Amino acid sequence: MLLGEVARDAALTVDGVADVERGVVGAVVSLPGGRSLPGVMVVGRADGRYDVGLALVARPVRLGPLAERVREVVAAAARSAGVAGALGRIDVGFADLEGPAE
Amino acid sequence: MTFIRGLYLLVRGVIVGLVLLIAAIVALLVVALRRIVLPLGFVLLALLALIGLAAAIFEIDGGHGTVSLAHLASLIHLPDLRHYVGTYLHNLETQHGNTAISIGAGIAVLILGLLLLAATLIPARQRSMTLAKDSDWRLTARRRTLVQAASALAEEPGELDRVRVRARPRRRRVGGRLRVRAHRRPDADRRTVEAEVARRLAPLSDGLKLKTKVRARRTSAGRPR
Repeated sequence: MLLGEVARDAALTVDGVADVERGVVGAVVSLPGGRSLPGVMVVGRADGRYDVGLALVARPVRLGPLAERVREVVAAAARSAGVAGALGRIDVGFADLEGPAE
Repeated sequence: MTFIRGLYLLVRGVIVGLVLLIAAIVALLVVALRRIVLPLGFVLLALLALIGLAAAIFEIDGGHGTVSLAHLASLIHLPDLRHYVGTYLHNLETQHGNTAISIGAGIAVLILGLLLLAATLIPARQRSMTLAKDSDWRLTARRRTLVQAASALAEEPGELDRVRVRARPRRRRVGGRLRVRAHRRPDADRRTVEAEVARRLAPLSDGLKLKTKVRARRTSAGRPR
């Protein structure tokens, strides 16, 4: 399983994360192996590790603690998948909010 | 008349059908060609570059051939333009020309240049705000998302008629500011309303470098809620 998929799947398990951003305009999409992976951007670094950026859609909850939880869960998932050594910085981005009162 | 009308409807139907058929074929072709568009584009660009290189080499010889500089200039009427501009500048020098047009055009070009310079130098509006950052991770949120969240929190039922939120990031630094303008009912106390809105927004800004500034204004009489 690719690092981006590990991070995305882990982030989606966090309570308070509704989805990853899937919009056409401004969407963050990785293309590993010709497939699209919306909401995730994986960038290689000079030290051989990879920074993972997540564009998430959150539920109306406190964003700070939610981002901390996402970071912890993604790091734990990377360890479980045996790719923790490849994981660099985790960028948690909230691209949208689900169901806010406009 | 009936025959003509029937014929008209038949022709119209055939045309609509053909248009739909062509649209479907084009859509299928687009889907099929998507995989080869990128390499094809690269090949076309490389071919264009080679043609340009060949034309440039041919130009070195000069002459008046098909792709010579002189022939290309004549194709776009550069000699005529030179004559026109020369005449115009001569008239301008001898005070026979219309100096107002020249001054106006000069000022317009100056303004255009300043606008282009400003567009280049003034940084674009940031869509995202970085709210927390260290060497291991970073938390960002779109300004629109923060505004939505703050509006949802602040607009709980109470003494407010309307809330307007603006999010402004700090330039080149972590954090930002939420400016909330709350419209309170005439009988509501300003300080109480401001404190209440700040309390409601606390869950959003707690733990983040996000300052909140709340100003409560009285709703003007007759203003729609």
